[in-house]
Amino acid sequence: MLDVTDLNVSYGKQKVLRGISFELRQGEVVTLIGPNAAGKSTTLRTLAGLKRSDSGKIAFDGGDMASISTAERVKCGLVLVPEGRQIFPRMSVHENLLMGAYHRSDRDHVEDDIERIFSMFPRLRERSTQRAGSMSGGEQQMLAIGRGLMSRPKLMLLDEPTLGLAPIIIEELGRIIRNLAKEGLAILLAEQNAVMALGCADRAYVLQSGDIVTSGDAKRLSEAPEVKQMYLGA
Amino acid sequence: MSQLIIGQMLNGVIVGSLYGIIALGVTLTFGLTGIVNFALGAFMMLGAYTTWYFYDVLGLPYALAVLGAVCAVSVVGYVSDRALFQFTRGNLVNGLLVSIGMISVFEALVLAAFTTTPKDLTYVLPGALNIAGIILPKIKIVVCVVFLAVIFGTYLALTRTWLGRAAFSYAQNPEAAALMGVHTGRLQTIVVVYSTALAGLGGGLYASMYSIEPTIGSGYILKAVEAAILAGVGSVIGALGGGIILGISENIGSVFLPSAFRDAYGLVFLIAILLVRPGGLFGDRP
Repeated sequence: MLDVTDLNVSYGKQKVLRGISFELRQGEVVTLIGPNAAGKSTTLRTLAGLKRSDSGKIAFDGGDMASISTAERVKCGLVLVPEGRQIFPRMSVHENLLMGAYHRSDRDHVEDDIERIFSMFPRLRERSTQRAGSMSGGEQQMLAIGRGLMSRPKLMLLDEPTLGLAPIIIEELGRIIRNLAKEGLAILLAEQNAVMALGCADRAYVLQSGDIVTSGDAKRLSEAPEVKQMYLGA
Repeated sequence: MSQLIIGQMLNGVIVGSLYGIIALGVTLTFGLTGIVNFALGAFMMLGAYTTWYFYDVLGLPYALAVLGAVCAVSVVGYVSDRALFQFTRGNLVNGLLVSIGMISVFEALVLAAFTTTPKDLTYVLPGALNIAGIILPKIKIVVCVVFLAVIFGTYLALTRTWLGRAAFSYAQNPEAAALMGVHTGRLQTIVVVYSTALAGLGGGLYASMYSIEPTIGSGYILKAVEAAILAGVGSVIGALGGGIILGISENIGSVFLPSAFRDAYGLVFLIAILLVRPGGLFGDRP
């Protein structure tokens, strides 16, 4: 459903992505792992349309994404849950979820979807009227994912969702990602926490200084010696 | 004495609501485009002159004249956004230069067309209410009520409507708003134009109370920026609150201290409040 071919991105003269290619199928969880500054966030931001690519093709659901705006990509079902959550701190939890449905034309069904999000994340229901900025990091991450789901995406891009979270919350996050995939949502997960990422993904790409150096089945990769040594601390 | 003070407080509220309506435009424009539009004072002046022209020269009913003025000013606002302000998004200094340049152009044009002679509208709503010895002209009460209604309406729109929430979310985090599917460019234009419309309304109603000249906007825009800072930039209710606090402190200050320095009393208040609350009084409210 997502087909990226020979994607080149740079910041000024600095090349950040050097012609990477990868793909993702429906209901699949794919992870991009790699060290800091490998280009993971840049890949996701380029897919979401926040960053322009120099060249390369982004085909999503049969359409070409490269030339359309972020807002139009959201309409096509491609949503990014950005690094650092980026929730709206001065709005309530409920209003944040409403914003997630902003582009939808069927706004009558929005409350039903919010109910669905609340049953997925009961903590959010408890805090429905609370100002989002006053919640803990874990709760904010759940809200950011819930807000992303409100757009009814086909593909969700998750950028470093475990950043700064406690191990127990990270575990919960992994379960949530698996459950979403079971419901047919495709997920592209960019993570520095390779243990978590390889634990919940089907396939993985290892990114290093803007190149994909290895790829394959997540379970097999987590046992590969070079990956173990570099990313799993073994 | 207490009558004098209460009377001055009410006057402060009325003047303050005028500061507030322009401050609202200042704060909205800043929140969405990152620039302080000092030309909003000039848009207010345009609103005042257009109202005068429609009402006194063309003989339209006053309400219609104000409505027409708001529309005319919005059109000028739209053209200024397409031609100039859209190139100064997020650039405070360029925005400042463009808006100050626009003040000169607008003032010069009005000066050329209508000279410096102050214009007075023929009485729109004569008469005054006498409430327990305090005399309040009816027109001032009506103007104040309209301003309050528009400001609260804007507040409701920002918190209850899709477009309003989009604007409020954009002010908090532009990138996240784009990720929600908000067409950010369009939204910025809408808010810039709405702010000029608010200033136009302010000018149109101002003209019913005071005489107008090409330079009336400059004093009011400074007060409006003061009010917006006092309140905490980004807050709608704060813009009103800040305007009213400023209006009251000027009027009460003038009772006890020389009224020649009335502009300073509000500034003293501004500094005092910022010392205690650097983010402004209502800094974290919509």
